[in-house]
Amino acid sequence: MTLDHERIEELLAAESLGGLDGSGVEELRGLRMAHGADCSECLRIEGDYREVAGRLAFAVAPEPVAPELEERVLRETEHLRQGPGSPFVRVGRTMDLLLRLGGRGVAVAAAALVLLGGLGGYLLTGPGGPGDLRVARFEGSAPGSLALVYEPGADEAVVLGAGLEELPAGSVYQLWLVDEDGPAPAGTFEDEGGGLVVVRLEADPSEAGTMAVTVEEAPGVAQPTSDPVFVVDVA
Amino acid sequence: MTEPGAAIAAPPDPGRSPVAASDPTDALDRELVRRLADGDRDAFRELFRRYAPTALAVARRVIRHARLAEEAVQEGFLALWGDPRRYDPARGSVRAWLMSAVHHRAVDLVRREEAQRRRATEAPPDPAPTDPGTTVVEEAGLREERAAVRAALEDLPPEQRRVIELMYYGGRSQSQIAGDLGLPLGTVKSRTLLGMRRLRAALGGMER
Repeated sequence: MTLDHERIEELLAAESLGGLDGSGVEELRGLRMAHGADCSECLRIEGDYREVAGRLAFAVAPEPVAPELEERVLRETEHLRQGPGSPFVRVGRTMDLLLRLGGRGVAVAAAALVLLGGLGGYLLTGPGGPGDLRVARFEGSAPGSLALVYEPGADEAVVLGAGLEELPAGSVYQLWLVDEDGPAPAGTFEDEGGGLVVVRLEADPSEAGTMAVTVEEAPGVAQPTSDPVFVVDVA
Repeated sequence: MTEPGAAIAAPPDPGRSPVAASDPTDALDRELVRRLADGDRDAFRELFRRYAPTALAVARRVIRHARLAEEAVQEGFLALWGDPRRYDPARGSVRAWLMSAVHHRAVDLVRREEAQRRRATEAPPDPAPTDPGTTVVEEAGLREERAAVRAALEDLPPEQRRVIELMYYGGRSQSQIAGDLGLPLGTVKSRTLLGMRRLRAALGGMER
C-alpha cells in the first residue's frame, strides 16, 4: 500500500463514520483528486468502509416508527418526481463537485467562482475560457450571490452560491426549473455557514427557460410554498 | 502506528471482498430497489418498514432530537425513492447504503444544530423519547445481522470501540473526540483506522 493509500484509507475510515470535520473532508477530496479519483483501490476501500459503517446501525435496537412518519414519507412519494432532478439529488461543497466531474468540473467551478467575483464575463469570452459553458447570475431578494453554470443541450449544470443566509434547521433552499407548465423541483441545498455552496443539476436548465429558488421545509416539497428569493432567466 | 491491536489487526486480503457469503436479505432488498425504479410504492413501503426502525434508532442516538431524527430518516429514504440509481449494487448492501444515507444526514443535522447553538446559546435539544413498552418485530435475517455486528464491536479492543462508538453513534468528529477524551488527534485517528480494519475483517459476510 502506498503512502497515499495509507493516508486516504485513514481518512475514508473516519469519513464513513461521519468523523471528519470540514478540513478533513477537504483534505480527503484533495488527496483523492491528486491521487486519481477513479483509483480502483481507493474506491474498493471506500466501499468496504461504507459497508461496515452502514452495518454498524444494526448494533442499535430498532425503535418503533410512528404511523404518522410512515404516512408522511409515503405521501411524499406520491408527489416527488423520480430520477435526475429529484429534489433529493444534493451535492455538498466545491470539492464534491470537482471530484465528481473531474477536469471538466474544475473549469465549471472556476468559471462560476470568477463570476461570483465579478469577472465572469471576461473569463467566459476571453482566451482559454471554458468554451460553450454559459454563466447566468440569479437576481435575488435574499443575501448572497448565486450563479448558474450550464451548457445548452447538456443534461448537467451547476449552481454555485456564496454568502447565502444560513437557514434555520428544518429549512432548505429549493431549486425549481420553471417552464410553461409551471415549476418542477430541481434539487435542494443548504449553506452550512459561509462557504461556497455547490449544487449539481442533472438537467438542462435552458430547456426550462427560468430557474428559481425558494425557501422550503426540509427535505423539500413537490410545489413551491413561498415566493422565490432568487430567479434567473436561462437562454 | 503504536496502538494496541496493531499487530493483529491485519488489513484484509486486497483481493477479497469484505462481504463474501450469500445474503438472501440483500438479494430481496435489491429486488425491491429495482422495483423502486418503476415507481413501485409497495416496494418502497416494504423497505421502509424493514429498515426505518433501525434508521430511526441510529438517527436518534446521533441527534438526540426526535423531530430532527425523523427528518434524517425521511430524507434518507426519499433520496433512494427519488433516484434509486444512487444505490450502486457493486459497492455494498442496500441496508448499509440506506443506513449510511440516514446516518450522514443525522450527522449533518447535529453539526448544524451544534453550530447554531454555539451562536445562539439556545437550550440543548430534547432527549430522544423512549418507549420501553413497545418492541419491533424483525425477521430472522436482521436479528442475525444485529448479533453479528454487536459481536464484532464487542471483539474490538475497548479503546478502539470507544472511539468508533463516539464517532458513529455519538455524531462526534475525530477532533471533538480527541478533546473529549484528552487524547492526541493522531491517537484517535489510528484507533479509528485499526478499529475499522478489524470490523471490516469481522463483518466479511455478504455478497457484492
